[in-house]
Order: sequence, then structure tokens, then C-alpha cells
Amino acid sequence: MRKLIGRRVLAVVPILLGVSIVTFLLMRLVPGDFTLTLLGPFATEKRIAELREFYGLDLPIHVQYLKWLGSILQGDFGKSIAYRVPVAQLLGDRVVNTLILTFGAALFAIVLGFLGGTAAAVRRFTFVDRATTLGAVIAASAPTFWFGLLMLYLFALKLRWFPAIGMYSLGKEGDLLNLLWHVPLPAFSASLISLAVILRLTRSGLLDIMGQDYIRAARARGLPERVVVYRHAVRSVVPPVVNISGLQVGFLFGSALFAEVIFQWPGIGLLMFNSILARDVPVIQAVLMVIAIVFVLVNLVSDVTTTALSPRERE
Amino acid sequence: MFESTGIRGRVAATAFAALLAAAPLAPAAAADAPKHGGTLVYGVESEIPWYDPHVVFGGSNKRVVLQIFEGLVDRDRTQPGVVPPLVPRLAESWDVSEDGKVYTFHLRKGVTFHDGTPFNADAVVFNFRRVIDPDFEHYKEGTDSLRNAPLRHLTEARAVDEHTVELVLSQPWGHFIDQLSTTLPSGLPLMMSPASVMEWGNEDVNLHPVGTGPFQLEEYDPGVKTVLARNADYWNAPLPYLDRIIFFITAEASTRVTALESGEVEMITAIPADRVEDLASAGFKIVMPDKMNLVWFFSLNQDDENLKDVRVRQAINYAIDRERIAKELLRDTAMPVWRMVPGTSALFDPGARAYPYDPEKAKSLLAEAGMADGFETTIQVPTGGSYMIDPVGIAEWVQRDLAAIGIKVSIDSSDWVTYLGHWIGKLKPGVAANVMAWGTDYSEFWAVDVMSSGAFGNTGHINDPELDAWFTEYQEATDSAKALEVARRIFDRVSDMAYFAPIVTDRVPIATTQRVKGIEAVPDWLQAFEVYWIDE
Repeated sequence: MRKLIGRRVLAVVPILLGVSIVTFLLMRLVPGDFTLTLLGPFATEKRIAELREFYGLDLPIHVQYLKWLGSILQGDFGKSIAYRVPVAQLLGDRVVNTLILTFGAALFAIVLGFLGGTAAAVRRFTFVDRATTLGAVIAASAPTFWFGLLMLYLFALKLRWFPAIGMYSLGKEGDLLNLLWHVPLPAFSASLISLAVILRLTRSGLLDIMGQDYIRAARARGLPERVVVYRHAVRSVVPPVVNISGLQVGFLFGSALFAEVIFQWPGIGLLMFNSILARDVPVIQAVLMVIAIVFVLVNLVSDVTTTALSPRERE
Repeated sequence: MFESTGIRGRVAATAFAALLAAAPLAPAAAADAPKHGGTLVYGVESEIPWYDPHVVFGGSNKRVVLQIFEGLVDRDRTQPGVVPPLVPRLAESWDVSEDGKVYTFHLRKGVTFHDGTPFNADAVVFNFRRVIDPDFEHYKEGTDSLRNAPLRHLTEARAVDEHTVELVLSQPWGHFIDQLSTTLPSGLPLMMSPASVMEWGNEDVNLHPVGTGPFQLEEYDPGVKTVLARNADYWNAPLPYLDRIIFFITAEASTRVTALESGEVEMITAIPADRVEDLASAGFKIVMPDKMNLVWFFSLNQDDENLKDVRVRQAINYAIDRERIAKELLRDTAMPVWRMVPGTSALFDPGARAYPYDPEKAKSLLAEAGMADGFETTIQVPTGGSYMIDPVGIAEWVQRDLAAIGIKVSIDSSDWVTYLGHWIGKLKPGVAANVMAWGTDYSEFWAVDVMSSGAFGNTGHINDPELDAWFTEYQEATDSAKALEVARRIFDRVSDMAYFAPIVTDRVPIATTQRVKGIEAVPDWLQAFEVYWIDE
């Protein structure tokens, strides 16, 4: 058990190293560089060359990589080119903001996914089942961008139940109730794919279990259907759902970007979107690394938990 | 306008202050009189903190910087429909020496920077030396664009007394005053508090802007919002009216429109063309001048085998249906242009259609040039960018128009930064054209950087000795009528030779709620926030 956890933790190192190389290369391989962002269309060739030298862009690529890796290991992500402040300072609040959104989205995905999946399985082949399953397929295939705009139009503009943009109303920064009012639209938009995944997994898992001998035995003993389903069957489907939900949290953290852009949520996804437009390389690299780290860590925790819970995996 | 710039001798202190302050004195109903107070929340497409005025670039940054800082002269952007006239701002008046090389500025008295330090001759000298004098202790690297454009002939700035400054040029230059009011280059000749530069240093002063303008920076939340607060000690009282302007960043255009509709912002810019009509019919105020100091154009590649023949370039110009692009694609948020002359220029002639839509004529010109079967080529466009409107959309309409005369165009689109990389490298053989939107500062001076041989903006490799001779003549002209006459020759030839395919001039629509007052349709992409007010 301990050995297994040790192995998993060790495996994280090469994964993150790999991610860092890909992240770095991606940013270097795209044509055009950020010196143009800095200098604009009226830049002189001489000035561009000076700036490239200043940022070390004239060095061989492996030297650039090692220098960059060296500084991020010391927690120094460099200075944002567009915003002129240290990247770590930019990331601080935004990581928290994205975590808030991720938490909201995970709540939607897990609660609605689990309830929907259970309802669909219990009322198999009825209208409820068909409607839920179809809804899940649509939710999983609808681009967040499109769905977010739809929600925006419906709930922010037509019904006016929720605000359209931001995390707080202007002048209400730090107000918890105001924050809770801003969460639902972006969180629900971001949750869709995960919601669908959890829903389908719950449904198929539950249907599997409902066909098992012990359920049939319970029914044969004359237990009310309610007790059979909710006490025996549903309980068995919980562990795999917990496992997949854990993985979805990592996914949500990285994929909240679209909801953040649509709803102007000041998280790392919006930061990345703006940074890509401005070709703010240090920020893009830092955000990608943060997303990778969160994803890997969530996976690690999820793996270890599953192992700990499952007798078969124990040594 | 250019006309005022060549005048020798003292220019009477035009009543900029009186002009702006006239609004509250005007005999209007009390309800229509501007009120102090209120916050204007402005949904903007981007806002990046480049607050050092001497290196600022990009319209979104200048929009903020010009509220914080002021220059010696300015453009009055408060008169509806009027091309913003040149007005004194921190200078009250100026004299030009007999030889045209020494400009003496008489500064406005009693002006202080936001930090309480006085605006005086020493401050002016400090600001110019920061840009032009490499030996100066506070010399700022990276101000090339300012130094090489509006200050290109400035050699020295010296204080005569507390409120008098002399600027010395290396040669007579009739465009100097005009260029001091420029908003075009990266870096504007605006006045920063010397104390702020000394306190924060040349780099960090960028986030601690201290000027004399109607507003000062209150808060800056990167990528979220920028808050400007009223300068209570503004020299031109009772302006400004607003307590605060919040530039709220809404990168997604549809979100920006929704934020206005749901009342979370009061004003938006960069509106998708197909939403302008909806907003108008939903009761929002659309502010859209009928002319603008911008041209959206293709540079045609003189180095490309296919385009060497002037008849081919003319054919391209005849083949494009600009009116349809402006009307159907851009829904009248832009106006068609047939010459490289924006509506605000003294040379603009609304009736002149150098190349009216005529595909038959285009075909016969191609045939005359021995290209009856057409050819295949590529055009480079960005996917978005500063005042780019809808570059891919426009390119696709042009692609269709050119296909009709046998020119098969493939569109090579890339993001703005990547695109700028291509653009700076100029057009390569095999690529027929690229795109740029250029503001023109009301004079014709911008053409020097776009059309003279070797100029950085001459991406189509125009190499026309006749034009170059005229550009020299134009730059040396100290008489405005003479300069305009030379400019007319230049633009006529540029049009005849079809060095470009100008398409539209953007009208830069802005939408506001009915509460926002004082905003007028002025033919400038910059706004005079100091006269805006909120009707509660």
C-alpha cells in the first residue's frame, strides 16, 4: 500500500517534467513573439532585437528552457509582459477564484449527475429515462461557449434572475451573498460535460447492480422496491461515482476557461484567454503548469483513495 | 486642423476652457444641465496597463492615458460632427521664430499634477528630455516611436522662465504643432509629473501614472477593471462631471452586449456590427459619427509578379463591391472608401469614387494586362485586432468579388500578434496583399510612414521616385495651403497607381444607456470623458 502510493507520487515527477517541456515548446513554436505585443506595429527592427535579447529569446532553446525551469522551481514564474506585475501575484487570487467556480461546478455535476442517473436507472425506459439520457447527450456535446451564451441570454437578460458578468457586483467585492448570486450561471455552464459523464456512469452502474443476484434476493425477500433501490443498490454505485467525480474536478478546473470567458469570471481561465490574445508567454506557461499540477494532484489523490477503499488493490 | 499649424506669430489663446465650460452656462432646461457625480461603467474589449504616456500604444490604452495626462496642445473632441479642431491645452499660446525653428510656448498658469507638484517649464523640459536626450538621468529607453514621429526634428527643450518653454527644431517644420496633438504613434507627447518618475523610477512609474488630466488612476485590477477617479483640482473646473469611470473588461463581444442590456454596464464599445440595430431598437443610444479618422485598407504588393502591372491593381480595385460590404456585412457601422483618404481629411470628397464597383471593367483591365484567365494568390489578414472590425469577414467578401473576375484568393489568417510579425516583415512575393487600419490625425502626415519608399508602414514596397520627391516637398512645406496642395498630388497619384485597395472607414459605434449624457458623435476614436455626465 505504502509502496504503491510512493510509486504513484514518484510518477508525478516525470509527468510534470513532460508537461513543462511541452508547455515551453508550444509557446516557442508559434510564429510571432511577444516583443511585438510590447512594441506594437510601430516597432523598429532594432528595438525588437534589443527586447529579444533582454528576454533571453536569442539564447538556444534548451538554455531558455533550463533557465525557465530553474526559476519556476524556485516559485518564480517571471513577470507578466502585458500586466507588468509578477506572474505569481496575478495567479494568487485567480487560482482561488477558479477553485470557487470549480467547486460550484463540481457540486452541480455531482449532485445533478447522481440524482439524474439514479432517476433514469430506476425508471428505466420511461419518459424520465429517455429525457434524462437525451439531456445528458446534448449537455455533453453542446459547446460550453454556446450553452453559456444561452444561459446568459435566458437567465441574465430575459428573466434577470442572475447577473451576467463578474464575480461580484461593482462595489460589493467580498460580499459572500453577492458571490453566491454570481456563481450559478458560470458554474452550471462549466459543469455540463462532467454532469453528463457522472449521470451516465451512475445510470449504467445502477442498472448493472439492479440485475445482480443480491438485488434479486432482496426483492424475493419481499423488501419494498424503495428500500431495495435506495438502501442496497444505490449504496453500491457510490464508490465508482466518487472515483469518477474526483477525476472530473481536475477536468473542471482546467475546462472552466470557457465559462470564465463568457461570464467574465476573474479566474485563471480568463487570465489565460487574455494572455493568449496578448501573447503574454510567462503567464500562459504559468497557468498551464498550474492546471497540470492541479490535474495531476487530483488524479493522485483519487488513485490513492480508490486504492485505499478497494480491498482488491490492497497488498 | 492643419491650417492653423503653419501660422507664424502668436496664436491667440483659443478659448478651450471657455468652449468646454460653455455647456453648463448654455440656456437649457435645468434637467438638461450637466450634473456632477455618478460612476460610468464602460464595458471595454481590453485594457492593458500601459500608463507611461511616452511608450503607450494601442487604442485601448490611449483611451485611459488621455484621461490622466494632457499635452501642450490637443484636439477638442466635444463638438458633434465636427472634425476635432486643434486647441491649446497645457500651453495657452505659442510663437514661432522667423526661421521657423524655435517654438516658444506660454504655459497655462496654476496647473498642478495629481500629486500636488506644479506644472511648469521645468516639468515640460523634463518630459521632452526624457524622450530625446540620451544623456539625461531620466532618459527612457523604448520611446523610439515618439522620438521618431512627432518629435522627429526636436533637438532641445529649454525653460525660459517659470511659464515659458522653448522647443528648438533642427529644421523648419510646419507640421510640428499638429504632430504635438497626435494620438497615433506608440508614445504620446504628454506631460508626466517629474516627481512621479523620480519616486517610482522609469519602469514602475508605468503603474503609477501622475498627470494633470481630468481623472486620476484610483484602482487597477489586471484583466478585470481599471478605475479612474475625478481630479477635484482640475484646472478646467467645473469639469469633469463624473466621479468615476470604470473600464470594465469584457473580452467576449456577446457578453459585453448582454452586460449593457442587463444594466451592469452603462456604455460599451467594439460592438458586433449585427447587434448595433438591435441595441438601437431596444432603446439604447448609439453614438456613431458619419465619418472617422481611420481607413481600413489592403496594401497591394508591388514586388509580386502578378501585381506589378498597374492595370491588375486597378482591376482589383474595380472588382470590390465596397458599398455592399459596408451595408450588408458591416450593417452601416462603416462607410465605403475608394481612396486612401478618410472622411475627416480636408482632401475628402464624398462624391469621388476612384474605383466604382465595375466587374466588367475589371475583367477587361485584367485582359489588357495579359491576365484574362486570372491567377491564384494569397492575402494575409488578422483574425481581430486594433480597429480591425471584422477582417476575416471582409476578406471573405473580397475573396468572392475577386473570384468573379478570375482571381482566386486564399486567405491566410492569423492572430493579431502573429499577424503583426508578418506585417512588420512586409509583403513577400506570392502574397498579394495584407491589411491595416490606420488612424490619420486629421492631417495627411501619416502618409509619409505608409507610402514613401522604405517607410516602415510601406509593406507593399511602393518605390515611386515621384511620390518620394513630393513627400520631401510636403514635409518641408511650412505653409499649410502649400502642404495640402502637395498632399493632394500625392493622394491622386497613389489612387491612380492603385498602390492600395482601401475598403471602408470604421464609424466606431458606441452604445450607452439613456442615462449617459454629454456624449456626442465626434469623428474620432478617442472620447472626451470630461464632459460626460450621468443623469440619475
